[in-house]
Amino acid sequence: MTDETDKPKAEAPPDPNPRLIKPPRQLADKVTRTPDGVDTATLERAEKMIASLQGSYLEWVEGDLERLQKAHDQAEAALAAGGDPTADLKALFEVAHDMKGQGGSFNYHLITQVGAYLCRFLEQIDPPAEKRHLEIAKVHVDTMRLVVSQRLEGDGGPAGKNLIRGLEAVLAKHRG
Amino acid sequence: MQASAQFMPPAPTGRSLMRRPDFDPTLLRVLVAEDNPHFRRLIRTVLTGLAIDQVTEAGNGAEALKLVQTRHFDLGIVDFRMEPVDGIAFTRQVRTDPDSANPYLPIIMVTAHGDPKLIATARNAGVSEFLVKPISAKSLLARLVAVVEHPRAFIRTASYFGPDRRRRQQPFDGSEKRQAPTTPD
Repeated sequence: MTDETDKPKAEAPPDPNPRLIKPPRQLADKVTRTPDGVDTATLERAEKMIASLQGSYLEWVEGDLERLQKAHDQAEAALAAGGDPTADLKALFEVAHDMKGQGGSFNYHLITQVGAYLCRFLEQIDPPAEKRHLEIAKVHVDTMRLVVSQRLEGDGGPAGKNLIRGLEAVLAKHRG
Repeated sequence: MQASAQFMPPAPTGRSLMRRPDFDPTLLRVLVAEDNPHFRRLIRTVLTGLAIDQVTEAGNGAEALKLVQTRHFDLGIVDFRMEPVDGIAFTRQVRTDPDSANPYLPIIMVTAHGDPKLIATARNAGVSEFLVKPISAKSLLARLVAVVEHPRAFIRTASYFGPDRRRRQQPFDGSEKRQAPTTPD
């Protein structure tokens, strides 16, 4: 592995007096470790507690979908009025980014996947955005809505694969 | 895209976690700084599941900075993207502000970003570990184990103060430029 950030910068002279400091071990001193235990029970309990939040997730993801739709609608309205939809697309990105970060925690991996596709697509738009960009963004929004409404957990099975295949075909066509 | 993985040590596998001695972090006081209330709830839920009940929440980096100045925390879990003070600015302030109350605070940065440049920026600010969204109980526990079991030495140079950014301690033929370990300032 090469890590560019570890290399001294050409213009920066080496620090003549770097210091290595042993940090306080206050963290390790607080954590109990017993020689005979294994931690599967704790891990399982934490996983069950995440699973118990799934109902709440399905409520708040509906709110995210509404915000996603609203940002998209506002972008469309701005474009139709001859304005610049950049701010609305930024809002769209923010919501998609949050959804991407949460879906997988609740076994909605397709939300994470489509959210990632949408974020990447929006990042690659060279402003100003055009109508065709908003149309493709809408396909993402609709796909995420379907994932939630049809409760497509995990990889979504055949229906999930079809959704992803369709989305990827749209993106491939856009890229030409 | 998980490009950030190149900067991260391999997470312990479920099997290695299961083999490890009991990990009981019940006494830890954890600060969670995250602007998304749902994600804050998720992290708190996982921490509670891991028997960590002393969790304090902050809605952004500015709130978190106020908290670390007035209360002691053993660990900070901070989001990358927050306004008005993001996770990187928070970390930089904790590490380098002359008045910082806890410059050695272990900081786990939660991020959905795979951009290696952003990860490098966070690391250069002094982040201890990264936790990639979407999180799981296993991934969060793995990062907890990493900061507790393998705390990295801190480095102070003219331009950096924070955990040693070298993941691998590779032997080399030259003379060691760093001075012998010292106690914290």
